[in-house]
Amino acid sequence: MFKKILISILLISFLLIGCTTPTQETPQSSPIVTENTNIVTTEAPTATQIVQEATPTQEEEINLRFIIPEGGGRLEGYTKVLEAYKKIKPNVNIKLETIPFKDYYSQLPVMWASDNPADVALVDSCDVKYYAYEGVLAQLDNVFTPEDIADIVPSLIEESSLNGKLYGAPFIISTQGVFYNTEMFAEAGVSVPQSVEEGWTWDDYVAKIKKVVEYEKSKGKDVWGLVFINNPPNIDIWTHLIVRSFGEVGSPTYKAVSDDGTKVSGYLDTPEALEAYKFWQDLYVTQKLAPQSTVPDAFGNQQAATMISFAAWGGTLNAKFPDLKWSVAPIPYNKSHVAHLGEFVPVVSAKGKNVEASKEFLKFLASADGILAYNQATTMIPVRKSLIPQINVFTEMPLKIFADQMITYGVPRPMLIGHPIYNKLFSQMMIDIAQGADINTVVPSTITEIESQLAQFKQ
Amino acid sequence: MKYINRKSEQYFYAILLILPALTAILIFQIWPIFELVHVSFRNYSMLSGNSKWIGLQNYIHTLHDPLLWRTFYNTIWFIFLKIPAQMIFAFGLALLVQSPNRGIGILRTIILIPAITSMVVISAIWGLMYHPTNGLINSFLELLHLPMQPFLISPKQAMPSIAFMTIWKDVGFNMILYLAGLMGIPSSIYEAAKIDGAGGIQILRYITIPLIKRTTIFILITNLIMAFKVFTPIYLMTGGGPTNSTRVIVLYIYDNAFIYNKMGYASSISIILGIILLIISYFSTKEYS
Repeated sequence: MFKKILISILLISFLLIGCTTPTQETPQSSPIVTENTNIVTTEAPTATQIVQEATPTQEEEINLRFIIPEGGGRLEGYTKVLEAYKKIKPNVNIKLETIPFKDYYSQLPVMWASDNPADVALVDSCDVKYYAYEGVLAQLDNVFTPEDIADIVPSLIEESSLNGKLYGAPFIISTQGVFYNTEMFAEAGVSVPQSVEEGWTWDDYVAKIKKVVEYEKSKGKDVWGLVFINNPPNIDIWTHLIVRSFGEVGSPTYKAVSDDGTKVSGYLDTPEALEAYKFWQDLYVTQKLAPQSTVPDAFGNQQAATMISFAAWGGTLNAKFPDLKWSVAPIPYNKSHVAHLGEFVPVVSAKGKNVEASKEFLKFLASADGILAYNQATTMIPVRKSLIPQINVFTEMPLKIFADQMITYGVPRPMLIGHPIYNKLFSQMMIDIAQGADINTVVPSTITEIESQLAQFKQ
Repeated sequence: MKYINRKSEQYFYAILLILPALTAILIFQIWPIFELVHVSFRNYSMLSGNSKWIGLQNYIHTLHDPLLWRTFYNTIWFIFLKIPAQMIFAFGLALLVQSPNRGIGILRTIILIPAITSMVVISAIWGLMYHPTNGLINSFLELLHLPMQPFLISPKQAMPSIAFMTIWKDVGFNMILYLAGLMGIPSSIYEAAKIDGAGGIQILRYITIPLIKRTTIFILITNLIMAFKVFTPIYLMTGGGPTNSTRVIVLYIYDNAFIYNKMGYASSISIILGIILLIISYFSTKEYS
């Protein structure tokens, strides 16, 4: 009898142990985790002062999780920032986790639906409104002073705000440019504009890359005229460069979506937009100048004459393909110039365990010291106009093109609360068009689907 | 009295022993089903946690959602492309590797390898092989001076291409099940048939196929259920494109839940899918028994 009782007690104990929630942190399986280390030499007096004023003396250990998408030199840049922050806040341990870029957008909502979101995350500036609307982001009331706000590119502040309240802390900014293989263009005798004022039209651009492709073919080498990071691109920041530029500034084609952010018929199906879709399809299907499926590192491996990408891509090219000779031309235009402004913006999870400490970190990240620390590893345009002259590469060619373009023609992407949904459906339509879908069928059906999904955001 | 005590003691230990498994089933299987039904009657935002009772609206919406019907059509098209071919191949392979010849074990293992490999890995590899310009298959076609094929980027070819890949992956597992069925047929029946003068085709038609009917039905049920739930290869290889030609039910459920943030609607489609699978299982099981 004693044995039976003992067995029963043991079984119940095992059961209870099995049902108990583990107290230690669950290890992360998929993301790559990089612990920050103390190697930095940067002195950051300004940021130190800011942080110390905000939090008097806080000695207890604080652990934060910070998730970022892979690529674009982000890991290197943020590692530098964390090293600099560790110098002034040694009690704050920030664990940097990367997620593959293609999975990043779909993993964010799942993470925020959970009870254990990362304390700090990067969100595409266009999507900040959506997550703020859903209540998953903490409001960043004291991160910027009015002087800071006046110094920051206004569209980034607008994108990061909802109903006049700030939810993202912009600190760097991206715009796009045409990276081109200087050797291929020189050999083919094709000249390239050297300033934003003398840019190509989209038709000029196609004629020029065609000439380069034909010249290379005459030498027995097949190259693509144009590639993006992913082909066809799966984010509207790239495709709207073309579509919006087919409309005059302020026209429905240029705006792409109604002012209340819920209507796209009359915007995505104007005659100018349809003309842009035809142009896009011809690039892929008729002229076969761009690949219908991603060819990894096509530009770096000299399998493509040009690549439309961000400024940070220059650093990647130099590191991975030191023999490649490249330069940058401005983004072509049609009826209007469109160079999109935007970038991943750091945000704080409302459900995070250390919201105040996360905000303090963002305060440093968005300060001059944070921006300059990031630029030690990865070259990006600072969102503060006053800092641009301090980063020499943006005052000299070829990267000067990016800074000039941002100041001259930079515009935000269509701003709407439902941007993640819009982006997914619009981008899928552009992929379908690039792969040969009938424009007259796919455009109306996509518009119907976008509007049916955006209806949930009608105020 | 002593007998009753012993009996209740046995029950006590039986319950005690199944309690861990039962708890896990209740928490991870039964409770989510109730929660799914509950959410399907609500307008529920996974992100904000806001939830509002809307009665049958989600179910009514399914009737007027043309995209949902398109996904049903696509799923059935996938099943039609996959299951008959897969079962015929599996049966043929089982007949081929049935005899205990030398080296047959190695052949069985080779056929089974794709079935035990991760679908994610296989989808990634086949995605590269199907690449329209740089893929292995198109390079081979080019070598033979045949036109290159837009396997995954053509609305007509995308679904057959994915179905072909999944057949290649799953045929080995079906073959093993058929093999088990074939080995269960007593050799005396074959011997008697041979004595009666039956040829190979006659033996196959009148002995082998009827005697593995139960195995065939079992394979059919499991294949049907798995094919209705197809998600991974499509999510990884085409994302439902081009032009929705590979958008299947489970992918549509995923999109509604995690992209459009419509967890209530996604739950209602899941319930409908669950009912369809229950009906299929019911009739198939009836036939099986």
